[in-house]
Amino acid sequence: MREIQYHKAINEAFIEEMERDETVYLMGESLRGANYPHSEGLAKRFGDQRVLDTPICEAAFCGAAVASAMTGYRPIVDLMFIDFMYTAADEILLKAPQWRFMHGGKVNVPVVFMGAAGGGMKLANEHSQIPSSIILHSPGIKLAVPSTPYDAKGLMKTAIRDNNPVMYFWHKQLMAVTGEVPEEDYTIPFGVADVKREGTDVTVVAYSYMVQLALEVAKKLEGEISVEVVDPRTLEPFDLDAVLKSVEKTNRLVIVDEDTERCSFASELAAQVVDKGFTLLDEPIKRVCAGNYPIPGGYMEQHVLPSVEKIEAAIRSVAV
Amino acid sequence: MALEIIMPKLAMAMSQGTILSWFLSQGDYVTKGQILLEIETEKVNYEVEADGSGYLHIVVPNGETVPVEHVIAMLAENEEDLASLASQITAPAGSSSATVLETEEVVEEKDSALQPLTPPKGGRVIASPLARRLAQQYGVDISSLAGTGSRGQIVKRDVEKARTAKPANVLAVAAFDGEVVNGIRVAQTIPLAGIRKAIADHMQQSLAVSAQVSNMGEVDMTELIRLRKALLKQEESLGVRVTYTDIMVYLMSRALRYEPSLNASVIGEEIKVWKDVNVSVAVAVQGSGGELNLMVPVIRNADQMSLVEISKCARDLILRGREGKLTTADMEGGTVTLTNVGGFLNGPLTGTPILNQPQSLIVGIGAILDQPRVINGEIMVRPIMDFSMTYDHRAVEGVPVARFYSKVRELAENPGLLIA
Repeated sequence: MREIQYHKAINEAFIEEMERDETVYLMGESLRGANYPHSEGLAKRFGDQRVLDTPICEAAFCGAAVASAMTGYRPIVDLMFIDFMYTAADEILLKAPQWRFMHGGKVNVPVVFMGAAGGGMKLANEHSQIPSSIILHSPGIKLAVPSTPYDAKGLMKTAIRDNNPVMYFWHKQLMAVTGEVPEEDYTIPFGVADVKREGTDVTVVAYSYMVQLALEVAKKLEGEISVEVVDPRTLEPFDLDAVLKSVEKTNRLVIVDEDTERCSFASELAAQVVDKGFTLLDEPIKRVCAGNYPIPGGYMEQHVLPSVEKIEAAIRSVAV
Repeated sequence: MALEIIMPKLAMAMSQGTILSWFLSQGDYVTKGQILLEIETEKVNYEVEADGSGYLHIVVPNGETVPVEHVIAMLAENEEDLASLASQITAPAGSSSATVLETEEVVEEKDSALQPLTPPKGGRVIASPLARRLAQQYGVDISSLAGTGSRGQIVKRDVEKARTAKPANVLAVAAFDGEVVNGIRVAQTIPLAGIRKAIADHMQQSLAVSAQVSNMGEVDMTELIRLRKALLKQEESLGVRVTYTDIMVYLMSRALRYEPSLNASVIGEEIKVWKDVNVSVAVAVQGSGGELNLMVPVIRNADQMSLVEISKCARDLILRGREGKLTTADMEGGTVTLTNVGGFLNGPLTGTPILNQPQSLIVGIGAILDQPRVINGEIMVRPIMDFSMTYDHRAVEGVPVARFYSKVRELAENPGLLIA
């Protein structure tokens, strides 16, 4: 199968869905100039009407997207850096997720919000977060977190076709990652985890870029500790059964979450596994997350963000 | 420094003593020579004197038993020391004495980077949730295992190891996919509910509230067998097939005329000696699930009825019992009970039936079996029936029971007396 890069996979998803459905359009910051390569060539191909560059006014264009979604369009809103979503919090966390409920189910809000998430590029606190817990804490919006080019394309296509608002985190560190992506049309259903590597000793649940780090550690520990890497691919809806099935085999769970540890997805999953899978566990559940600090700029960020070393230490602490 | 007061060793053979009573309270100031407390040993009670002065901190409270030389109190030099003694978290005396009494066991050291949490045996068992579930499933005693988890906790592999170390018959339990309780495979689970529950409660309550005495005896059935055979020949004209149960109901009710004090109940603070002789007859009835349930319908005023009347009444009750049509009224008002297990026996067996409250007498009869007996100086083969009685010694004395038993035997051996 051909191999393409992660950003190219997203680009293909845009093209295929925009050709398939004329109500799909892109709106956001620096799209025509393709600040990030996933929007390359789109303006030329689909014209100014379907690839809209906006001023730096997130609240305004996210609100516009919610409104146009309610009137029958399928906007994809690119916030460039996902950290900027905070300025449009009301639109993203309250209006988009809850207006369908507010209106008694009479309207759909099929909007996709997306942005570059995660650290590792030494860009400091306002350009390095992956704020998944805030999305998960807001009922009514789905969250896709692809870790490979294949998942990036399949999940984006599903997100666009979904009649509900979807937040789509693409990770800066994954942009250049290459992987197999079929040429034919495919989608990936939400809420179905993917076992990225099979193992028998310890289950590692990781999402987005953390999957790549977990796979790196799993490979390093090969022959010593057999690590199973489970990638949920979407955090809402979440495939808890897949995690429990894996823990049933390994009896040990490490959760890797690049978001800040306190009240994180990792904490939530740990609570759910204790609740639903208490008697599957032989060891305490370990979380490897960003520390409870702002992400510093420059080289200091490695002390806050999860790393292969921290993941390995967590795996070793339960694989006795 | 605080002075320790210990449980004194008063005799060579004394191993432990009980605190009967502290004469002083926590915090009281004690002077040397003052009587502190009274202790009890297996042989004597003894008053313990203070062998120093200070503020009293009681370690072992009244009523607790501790080994000799165990610290039972401290005398603090000043109030500050007392406060610090009192604030120390001390285990309850019961558990501390238990710990001391137990053989000390050495906890195996584990080469874990983390401090092992495994406590001495007998304490809280540290095990993973998974290990606990598996141990219960396999019937493995988790408290006997050593843990090898990251924190010294017992984990799956420890349980698996213990399981595979077990003998083959235990493995059969492990392979069993049905319910296993305490390592024992369950074949059937019957809810203790409905009739079953009522019987259980009634039986337990009966034993709890009365002073039950059981006597075992036997009755020579030669004459009654002859009588019954004669009656069976007349079955058509009598309209009923008379059973030994019927005959015994008839006989008991007549014998009670001679010993009316047995036909009685303790009700509150009184003994009611009944005028009515109502005989409850225990009947095993097959339930809808195939289980046997005990029903005890009542033949009212049996002493006023002919044998045939008793027999017809009993037939009706048993039939309705089998059909599940007995009402509460059918089972109320009995004053004595007869239970016949003879039909289920192929050998001698005598029992101690439990009183059917609030009655004071229950008679149990067994199988009629040929037995050698000495009659008029000769060994003869006679049909003998086991006959047992349980009575409530609160209401009834042993003598009338003995006389009742003798009367039953007399009537059974001479049925002609019944028409005399």
